[in-house]
Amino acid sequence: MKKKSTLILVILGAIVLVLVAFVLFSKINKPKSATSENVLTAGVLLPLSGPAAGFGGDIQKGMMLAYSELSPEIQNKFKIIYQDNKLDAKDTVTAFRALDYTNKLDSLFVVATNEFMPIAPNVEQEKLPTLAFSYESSAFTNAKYGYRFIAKAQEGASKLEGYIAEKGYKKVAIVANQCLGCQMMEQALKDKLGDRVSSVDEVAIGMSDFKAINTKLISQKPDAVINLLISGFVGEYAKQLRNQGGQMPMLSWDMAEDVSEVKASGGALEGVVYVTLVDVPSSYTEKFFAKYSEGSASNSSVGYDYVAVLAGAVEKGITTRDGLQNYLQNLSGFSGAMGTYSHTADMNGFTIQPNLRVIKGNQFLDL
Amino acid sequence: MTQLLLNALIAGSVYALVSVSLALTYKLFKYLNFAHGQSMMIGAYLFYFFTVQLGWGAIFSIFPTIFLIFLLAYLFLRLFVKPFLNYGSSITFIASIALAVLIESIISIFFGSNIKSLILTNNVINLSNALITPIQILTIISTFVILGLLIYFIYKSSLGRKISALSENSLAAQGLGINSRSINYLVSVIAMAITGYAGILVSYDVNMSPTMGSSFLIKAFAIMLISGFGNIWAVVISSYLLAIIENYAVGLNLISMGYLDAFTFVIILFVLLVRPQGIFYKKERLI
Repeated sequence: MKKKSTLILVILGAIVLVLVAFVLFSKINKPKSATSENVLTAGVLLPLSGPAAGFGGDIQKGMMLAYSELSPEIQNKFKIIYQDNKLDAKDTVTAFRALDYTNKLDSLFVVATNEFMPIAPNVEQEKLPTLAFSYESSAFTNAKYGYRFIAKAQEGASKLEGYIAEKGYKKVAIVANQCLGCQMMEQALKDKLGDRVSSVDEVAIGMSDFKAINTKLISQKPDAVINLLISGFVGEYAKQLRNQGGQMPMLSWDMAEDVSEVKASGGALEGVVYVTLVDVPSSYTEKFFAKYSEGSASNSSVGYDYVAVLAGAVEKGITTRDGLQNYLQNLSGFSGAMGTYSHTADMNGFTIQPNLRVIKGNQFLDL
Repeated sequence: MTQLLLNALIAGSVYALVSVSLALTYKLFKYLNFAHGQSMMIGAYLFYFFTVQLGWGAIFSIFPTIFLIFLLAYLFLRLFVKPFLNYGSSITFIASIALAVLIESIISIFFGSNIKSLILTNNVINLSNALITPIQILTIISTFVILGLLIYFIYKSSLGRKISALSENSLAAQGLGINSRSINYLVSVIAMAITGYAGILVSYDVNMSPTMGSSFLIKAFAIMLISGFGNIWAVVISSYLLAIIENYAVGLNLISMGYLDAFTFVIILFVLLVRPQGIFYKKERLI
C-alpha cells in the first residue's frame, strides 16, 4: 500500500516537473539561431532575475525589438546569446566565463558599471569589443576594447544642476540605491551641487519600505528631493513620500521613465523632471510603447542601439572581432534610439548626450 | 515620533503575520520552510491576477484567491514536504529552497519581472500630525483580528490543542489517536493563507515583485531566533519589537537605511550572545 502511494507520488512529481520544464522552455524568448559560418556572435550579460530583473528586461526588450526589425538575411549572420548576471559582479564573471568558453564571441554587451569592471581586463586581453551600460570609470582609462555606451554621470549631473539652479532650490535631499551606478550619479551630483545637498540616504537594492527615511526627510524640509533608485522602486518611493505628506518637487533619472513606474506611483510621479543619459527621439519612445505596454524606453534604447550598431557592421560584411573593433573606432554620425552619436576617445565612449524630460500622465516629454 | 510609531506598527503587523505562520509550520514539521516568503508572493500575484488582469474587483477576487491558496498549500505539502520529512529536516529544507526558486521563476515568466502595485485609494488620513493610508489602517487592524483569532484557535479550541500536542510530541499525540495527516494539511493551509494575505497587504501598501518574499523571510527567521522559536505570543511581540527598533533607528538617524539589515542582525547576534535560547524562551517541563 505504502509502495503504491510512493509510486503515485513519484509519477505526480515527474508530471509536475515535466510541465514546469515545458512552460519554462516554451516561454523563454530565444533569438533565431544563425545558420551560416560567417556569423557575428554577440554575448549579452544583463540582469534577468533578482530585484534588477525589470531593468535588465527592458534592455532585452530593446534588443529583441531591434533584432525583429532586421532582415532575415542579416538575422542569419547575427546571433545573440543572453546570460543572466543578476546585476552582480561575481555572477557577471561566472556568466562571462560560461559565454566565452562555450561560444566564439565577436562582441559583448554588459550591464552595468560594477559588473563591467571585473571583466574589463579580460576584454582587453582577449581583444573582445565590449559595449558597457556604464558610466565613466577607471575601467575605461586607456581602454581599447571596452566601450562606455551611455553618457557620463558628470554630464547628466550637470543637466540636473542647471535645472536646480534655474528653479532656485537651496536644499536638496538625495535618496539612492546602494549600487555603483547609483552612487556614481550621487557623487557626480554632490560634486556639482556642493553644500546644496542637505542629506543623502542610501537604500539597499530590494528594500521597498521607505517610510522611516521619508519621516526623517520630511522633517528636514528640503526644497526638492532627487530620487536615484533603480527600476521598480522609483515610483514606489514617490508614492510613499507623497502618502506621508512630502509634497516637495521630485527630480529623478532614466529609471523614472517607465509606464509601470508611473502606474505603481499612483500619480505621485506626475510632473517629475528627470535626466536621461541617452537622448531618445520621440519616434523611438512611441515605437517602444506600441510594442510593449510597460518598461523604460530610455533603458531599452541602449539595448536597441547595441543590436542596431552591430547589425550595421554585419550589413557591411563584418563578422569578426578585428573588423568590429575597427568599425566601432570609426563609428561616426550613427543615428539610433539613443540619438545621433560618434565614437570619442573620452573614456572610450560615444558622444551620447543627456537630456531633461518630464512625466505628464503616461507620457515622457522633452522639457 | 508618532509617525515613527505608526510606521513601526505597520511594518510590525506584516512581520507578525509572516513570522507567526512560519512559526506554526516550524513547530509542527520541525524544518525551516525557505519557500514561506514565496507564499506571500503567490497570494499577492493571485489577487493581482483576479483584480487587475481579470478586473473582478477586490471582494470577488478574495474567494478564488483563497481557493487557489488552499489548493497550492495542499500540493506543496504533498509534493515538496511530506515525501522528504522522513529523511530529516535538512533534506526538507533543501526541497523548500528548490520550491522557492521554482515558484519565483514561474511567476517571473507569467507576470514579468517588473514591479507591480495594487492601488486602493490615494486618500491619506491625518492622525495628530501622523499620516496613514486606509490600507495601512486595514493592515494594523486586520492583523490584530487575525492574530487574536489564531491565538484563540490554538490555545482555546480542541483542534488547536491537537495542533499543540502534535507540535510538542508528534508520536505521543498520534498514539493518543490524533489524526496527524489532517492536522498537517490544516496548519499548512492556515499558514499559507495568512502569509498570502500579508502579501496582498504589502502589494497595496508598497509593491509586488517575484522577489518580494525574500526580505520578509529573512526578517521572519530573525524574529524566530529572537523569540527562541517559542510560542505565538513571543513571535508576535518579537515582530513588533524588531519593527520598532528598525524604524526608530532609521528615523532618528542612528543608522543609514542601507545598513538596516546589518544593524538588525548585529542586535540579534547581541541578543543571542546574551541569551542564546532567545528572549522569550521558557524551559518546558519534560514530564
